[in-house]
Amino acid sequence: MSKRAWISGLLFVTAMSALAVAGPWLRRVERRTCEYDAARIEPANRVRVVDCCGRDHEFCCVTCAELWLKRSGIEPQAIHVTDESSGTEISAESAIFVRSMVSTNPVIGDRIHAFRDANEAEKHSRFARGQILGEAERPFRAYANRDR
Amino acid sequence: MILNAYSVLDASLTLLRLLLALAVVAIGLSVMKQRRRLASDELTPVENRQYLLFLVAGLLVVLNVLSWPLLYLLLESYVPEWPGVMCIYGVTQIGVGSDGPAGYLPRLLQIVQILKAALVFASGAWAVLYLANRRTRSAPLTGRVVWTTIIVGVLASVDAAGEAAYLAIPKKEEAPSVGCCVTPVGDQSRFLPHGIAGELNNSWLHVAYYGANAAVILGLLVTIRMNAAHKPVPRLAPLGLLALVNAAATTTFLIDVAAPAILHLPYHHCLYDLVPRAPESLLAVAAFVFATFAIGWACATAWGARCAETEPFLGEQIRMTLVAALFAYVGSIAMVSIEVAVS
Repeated sequence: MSKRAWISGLLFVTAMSALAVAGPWLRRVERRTCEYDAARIEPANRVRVVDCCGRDHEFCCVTCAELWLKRSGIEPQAIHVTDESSGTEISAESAIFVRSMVSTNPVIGDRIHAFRDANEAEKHSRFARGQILGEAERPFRAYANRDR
Repeated sequence: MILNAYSVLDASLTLLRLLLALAVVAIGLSVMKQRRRLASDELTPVENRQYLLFLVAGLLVVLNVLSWPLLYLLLESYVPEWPGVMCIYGVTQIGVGSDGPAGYLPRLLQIVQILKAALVFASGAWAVLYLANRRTRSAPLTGRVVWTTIIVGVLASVDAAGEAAYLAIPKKEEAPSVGCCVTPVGDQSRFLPHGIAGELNNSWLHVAYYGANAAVILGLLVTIRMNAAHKPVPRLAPLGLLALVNAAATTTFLIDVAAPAILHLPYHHCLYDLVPRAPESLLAVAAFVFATFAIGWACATAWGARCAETEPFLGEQIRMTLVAALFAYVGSIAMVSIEVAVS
């Protein structure tokens, strides 16, 4: 191989390597897509899981968060869901979950909604032909009492 | 038809490619017919037509290459059209299990995607044969170059017709009369991409990826070095086979390991998502495709361009193609490895 070919080739490899470093660095802005299915996260249905190392993982719905936890095998430090009526974040343990006819994620087929207030949960349940989930059906029940 | 800037651009390019491809086939066939009929001293009008053929073919080759990334930009622009679709993979699933013309969309898109790759490869093969022919005194490869041009023209016209049909077919799914709940039309999970290797351990995929690439790079170095001193045409069949095995290993690695790591989506095995979310990593994919094709083009040169007049420079031309493939492989591996490590 000629010296010129070597230099051109090495320049090409260097440029590719530089781009590989620069790309993720330029994309370091906060990601707002679900970590399970890459769907856009609607603020009213956002679920945040704090993993054992204190890192946040965001999901577009309760089912995505449950599937991700199951597949990753991670023991979460805390799980937060969003109160659909106020848009504020609440602990999954204190939330009231309603399964209704209104879909939160058409891809996964999630229809679970979280509420802080029992009256709001009742109202949604009546309005959207749903039912409040009992202890046996509650999402994240496998991780209950582990929230710290 | 979904109307947006990309679909208008793609439709225009597709129409232009279709016209050029048909022209290339027609001119190519007439050139071959007249070459057989006329004596060598009467060939001037045929030669003039050949120049026109190669000029049009050159333009067609450039447009063929451009149409490949444009297809994915078009599909990306379709993503917001359906509520359950999150990425290009979802767009490719539109029409699955549907009645009516939309039912043809997924298969049509698969065919167009395969044809695009075949077309770019054939276009490259045409280019290397054309360049070899240009370096000779009496152009002994003209017949082969014209036949390759006709093959490129036929492939391009089929590809353009398929793409035009994909653009024109209404992308409105119709559930069969048994109901949407029991057919794929109602199954929204089809929009989620799945991996290739299933539950196979990632470390095995790492071994396969780096092993296969190391083998090809070693093969390239040996072929280049062994044939550098004396100038014969190198034997390329084993290298071509290695490149094919490497293509399978690398594709699996990119889908199952690299894309989820780069996208920060451990269960989302989708190369298509790199288009909007990590566009620079597509350079690694493009470099890998180029490297694999370059080995194929070297084989095409060795097998298709060999004659007495090309002997003096054919080895050098093949070696230059292999050197380009070597650095493209190294660049691709470097980029993928760094992106996976820093992501």
